[in-house]
Amino acid sequence: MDSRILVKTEKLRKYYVVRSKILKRVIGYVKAVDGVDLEVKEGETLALVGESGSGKSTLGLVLAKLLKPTDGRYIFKGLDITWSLPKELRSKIRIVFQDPYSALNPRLKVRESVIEPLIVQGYSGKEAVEKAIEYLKLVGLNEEHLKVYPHMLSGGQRQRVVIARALITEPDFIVLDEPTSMLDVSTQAQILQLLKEIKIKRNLTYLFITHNLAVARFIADTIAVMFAGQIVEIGEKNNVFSKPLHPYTNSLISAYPPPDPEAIWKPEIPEESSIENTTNINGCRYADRCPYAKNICRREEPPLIEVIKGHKVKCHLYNLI
Amino acid sequence: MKPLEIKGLIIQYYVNNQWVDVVSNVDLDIDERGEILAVVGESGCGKTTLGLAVAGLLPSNAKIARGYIKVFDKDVTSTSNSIKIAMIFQDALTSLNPLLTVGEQIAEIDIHHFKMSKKKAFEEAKKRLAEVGLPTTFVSKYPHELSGGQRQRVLIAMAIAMNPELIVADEPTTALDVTTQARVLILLRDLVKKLGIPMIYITHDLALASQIADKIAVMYAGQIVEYSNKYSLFKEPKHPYTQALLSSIPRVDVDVSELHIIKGEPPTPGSFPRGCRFHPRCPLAFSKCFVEEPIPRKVSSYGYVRCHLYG
Ligand SMILES: Nc1ncnc2c1ncn2[C@@H]1O[C@H](COP(=O)(O)OP(=O)(O)OP(=O)(O)O)[C@@H](O)[C@H]1O
Ligand SMILES: Nc1ncnc2c1ncn2[C@@H]1O[C@H](COP(=O)(O)OP(=O)(O)O)[C@@H](O)[C@H]1O
Ligand code: SF4
Ligand SMILES: [Mg+2]
Ligand SMILES: [Mg+2]
Repeated sequence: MDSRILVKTEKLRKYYVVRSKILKRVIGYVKAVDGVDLEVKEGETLALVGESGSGKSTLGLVLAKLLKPTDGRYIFKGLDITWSLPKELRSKIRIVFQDPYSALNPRLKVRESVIEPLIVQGYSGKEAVEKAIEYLKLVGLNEEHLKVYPHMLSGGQRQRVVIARALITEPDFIVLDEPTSMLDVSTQAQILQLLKEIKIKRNLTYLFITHNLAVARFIADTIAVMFAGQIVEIGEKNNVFSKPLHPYTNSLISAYPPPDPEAIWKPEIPEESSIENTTNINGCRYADRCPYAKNICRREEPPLIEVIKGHKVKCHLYNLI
Repeated sequence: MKPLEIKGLIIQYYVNNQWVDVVSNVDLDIDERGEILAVVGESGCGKTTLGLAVAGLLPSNAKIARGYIKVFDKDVTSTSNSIKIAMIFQDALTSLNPLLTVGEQIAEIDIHHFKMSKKKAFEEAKKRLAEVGLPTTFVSKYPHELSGGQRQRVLIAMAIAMNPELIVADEPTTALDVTTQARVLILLRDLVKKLGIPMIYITHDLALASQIADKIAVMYAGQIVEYSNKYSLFKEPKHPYTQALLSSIPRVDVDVSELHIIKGEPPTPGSFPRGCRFHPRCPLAFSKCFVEEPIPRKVSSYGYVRCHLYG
């Protein structure tokens, strides 16, 4: 295996069991992640985009080792960690969530929250605090912030604290699940810029989950587009944006208004739908919504085809579109 | 007669035993029917408060301390004027009654406002649904049976059913997926244009504003810092805040490798800085900015900017 590949998944699945309300019998499954093959290189930022309910957070939780997959393989640094995580790797994978308000315990001072992962690792209090100060500075805060409670901080400052706490164990891989979607425009710019700088300084690898394609275009090297539990397109970001291959990617990109009144905004968006009514399909999951769908699309699931090096698409008709 | 005229508006909230300014000296207007004015700003700057005041829906701990809001020359704050203003909120689920069908809620408006018969009102409700791109069979559906985008369409249908003199839409699509957001917004824009209803569109998203609005007012710390037609605002942003904001948004249409950073964070009511409220974050601030509050200055044939760099 290529030694530069940090994260690799094979046919990764996560099905949530759906039970009946009264008898709690199993009545079905939500195929939140359904056969995902991914590779993330060391130092790469992979942005995972897709609409609400497409399975982004579920995939993120599985990759952060906070959720057991149903099936498939998860290889980290060449080791199969699908079902267990060796102790020495525990600190190497971290996650940052969307909501910095609920990510911090309101009753704990910043100091306690930030040093907690180190205490778990057996650091002494003094060492841990020294390191906490170093990491607060790295994220643009300072020693003074150790003493305060989360409610005394702004949303942006709280997200900085959460990032410091994730970084303090010196991870290799960080899953960031919509880390800026609750922040304001100016704060979002600060945090995105910070994450980009820290990544280079600390040689990190990111899985950056977002539904905002503009944010993805700014932060990522590679874009993976998720639809109904599957990756339908993946490729180097400029290829994906300048020449999207999947009709879904195309509709997502066209939905974004350009910040320019002179530019023409003409979204190409098919009918609304949701993951629920696409779970029983044998063919392409996008077929119900796809304006180009042909018979083959409803019959056969398209494979993930590599069209040019590193740019893959899961669509029968990509070359006709 | 202007569809909307706001002059010298000051709105205060009563918090911690005192009145604090949340919206300060706002002047805005809509010149013609079907014109869309976007109010753009970051969270907490006072957009919703301004929108609620226009719709006459301020909470009980708020008051208009000075200035006026007129809709077609009628003062909104005077109870003797009955002005029909429809407000569309972000959260469609809480704006709808969970116990009534969509049809009942739309029909209710015609029955109540226009004394229509029940049967006729239901027929009208079906027409409204078709107008917002929903199947007419939706009259018998309950809100929880609809997707977020469909609920937002129902709210638009209800707003229009009122035959309002003005619509205030407060971030009506932020809770939706981008594709759904795009469809709903284009629908709303095209409907108000077609029906000639003036609209205030409140958002934090400059890109959306550039596509939806005719005019844009940029709000910062309770004040409108720049007000202009959207073309000049984007081509030649005048206020340092507008300039910074425009270069701090990631873009989907071009590759941006670095975002402009506005240092610090917006101030909150009660602690607005002296002088220009933007001065602690402004890269161009000079001595005057620290002590004297800039007043709105007309800079083009249209609109104004609140900054000492312009006079
Ligand atoms: N704990 C759970 N139990 C059952 N179903 C779940 C659970 N968590 C998520 N799901 C379902 O799995 C699917 C994928 O959800 P997920 O949260 O991964 O989506 P997402 O892409 O992160 O969406 P969003 O953009 O809204 O955050 C959805 O249909 C969701 O309802
Ligand atoms: N009912 C209220 N009572 C007291 N303060 C309020 C109330 N509603 C909003 N505020 C405060 O007024 C300011 C402006 O709020 P708002 O108008 O909601 O801004 P925006 O819509 O731009 O985010 C904020 O500081 C907010 O905390
Ligand atoms: S008045 Fe001064 S501080 Fe305020 S925006 Fe203009 S230059 Fe900046
Ligand atoms: Mg999610
Ligand atoms: Mg608001």
